[in-house]
Amino acid sequence: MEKPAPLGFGLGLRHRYHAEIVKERPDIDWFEVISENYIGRGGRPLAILDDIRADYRIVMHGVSMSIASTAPLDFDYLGKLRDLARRCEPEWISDHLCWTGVHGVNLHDLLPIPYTREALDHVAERILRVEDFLQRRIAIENVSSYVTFAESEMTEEAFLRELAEKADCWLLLDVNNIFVSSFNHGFDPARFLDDIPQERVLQLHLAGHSDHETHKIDTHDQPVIEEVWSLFERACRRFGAISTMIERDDNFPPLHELVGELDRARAIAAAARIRREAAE
Amino acid sequence: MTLKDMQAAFQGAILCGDEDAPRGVEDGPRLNAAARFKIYYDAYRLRLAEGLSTEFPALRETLGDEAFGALFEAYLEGRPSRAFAAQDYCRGLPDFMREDPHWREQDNALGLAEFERALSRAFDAPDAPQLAIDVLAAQTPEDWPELTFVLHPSVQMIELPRSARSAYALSQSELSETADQEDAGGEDNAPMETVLFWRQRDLSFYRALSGDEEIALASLQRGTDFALICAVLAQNRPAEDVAGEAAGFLGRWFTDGLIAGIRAADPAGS
Repeated sequence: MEKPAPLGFGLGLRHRYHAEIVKERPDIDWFEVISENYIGRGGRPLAILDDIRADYRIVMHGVSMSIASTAPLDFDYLGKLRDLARRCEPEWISDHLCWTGVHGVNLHDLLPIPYTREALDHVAERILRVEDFLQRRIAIENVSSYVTFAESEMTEEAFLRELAEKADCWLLLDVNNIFVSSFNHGFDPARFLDDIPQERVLQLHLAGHSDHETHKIDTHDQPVIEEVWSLFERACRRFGAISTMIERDDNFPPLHELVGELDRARAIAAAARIRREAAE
Repeated sequence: MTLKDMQAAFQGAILCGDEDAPRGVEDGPRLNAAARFKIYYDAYRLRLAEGLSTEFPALRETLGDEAFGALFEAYLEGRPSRAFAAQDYCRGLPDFMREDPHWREQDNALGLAEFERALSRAFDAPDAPQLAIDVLAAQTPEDWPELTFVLHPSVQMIELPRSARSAYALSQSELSETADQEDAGGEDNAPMETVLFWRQRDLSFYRALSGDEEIALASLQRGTDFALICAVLAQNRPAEDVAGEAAGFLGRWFTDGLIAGIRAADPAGS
């Protein structure tokens, strides 16, 4: 399957900015929407989404697929996700390499897994079933993590690489998550990027995080930091033109500041493209 | 340890508040396993505490941090989330309070929680037309008695302690995305009142209903035609006052945006 063409540079669509986006139609190439904010809901949020869709392409990004859970797949959720996709016609659908709960409970967090052969087979089989149900290839995102497991048999990047092949899925690489996890676990984020297969990467996430000295937490409440911009530049050189967006979920700045961050992402990507072409 | 065992242990430790990390969690470069695991333990509580505070800001302000925190802990412990959206889980708080032996006795708190949930539900309700009163002009006077109406999906009528509306208004006196419209009036001494919630454009609205308006609107919601609504109202007043009052109610419902559809009598009589 051919990879969809890059969408350019987008933002996460958040309620805080709805009115301004509808009124001003800012220079943003596309929006990523949190699927759960619209599933099973009507009213103004959906109406605003319809309005924004008239002028912008969108991507659906979920937090509840729980693809790595050992609980049964939630086909009630997946059915609603499919219904939303039929209505919104997103460019693609993504979710996270994580689990959110077992035994019917949802902890509403992106929980980590050990990188084992057992987990790899389990997650790949579930992705294939979800792709079959949704009738589309999905993208899976690396999460920020705060623990590692003694049972792990491979690195996270090796797990992602094998998973993408085994499940025939796309990868959504969150550059900030790579940086946060590399600090928390003591690995080299550049090596992580270098081990990811270029042809599987569909999208990049950028975001800020909170720094607690002993650890970093993926909070999406700060601007993107310099180290993450550097890693993004490396990703652009490695992966070429790729759909990129910035997530902001708290401590919201004026919209023009996020658009300013997007402009910086555009400039870094353009410079990386020149370097990439010069090196070829 | 299998993936299944690991997830059961990890979830169990988060829900039960174990100090120790589940077996298999490793020490990191700067934090030991317990400190690393605690990040997840804390995040679970922080995320849902923020969600509940967002959904029930007036309840939190009215109860104070300590009592609201106790309610939050009881909810998390007594009814862990089974919803795929955290917002849906948070909106289940009034149901928990109604069933909990302690909180179901707290009428004012329960009423305020129901009040705030109704506002949120009005905001998220499906879209539908909000007809202008002009559509009535298209109906012939002969059709009026048999007209029926469809209410906007955001419309809710909920019987609540009178304190709920005043506590909410007090907490929102600075700024809110809601508006308390002028009341139609009710029984001033009654401990309970029926509050109407609805959405117009991007705002949720509420106001207390008088007994007559509640009866008329509830009748309309059940598909009762205009003639029967007048007949219901006629039980409490002189017949000559009824048509005017019913028309007054209807006019306000159109103005408020409560009416999504209007149906004339079926000519076939089916």
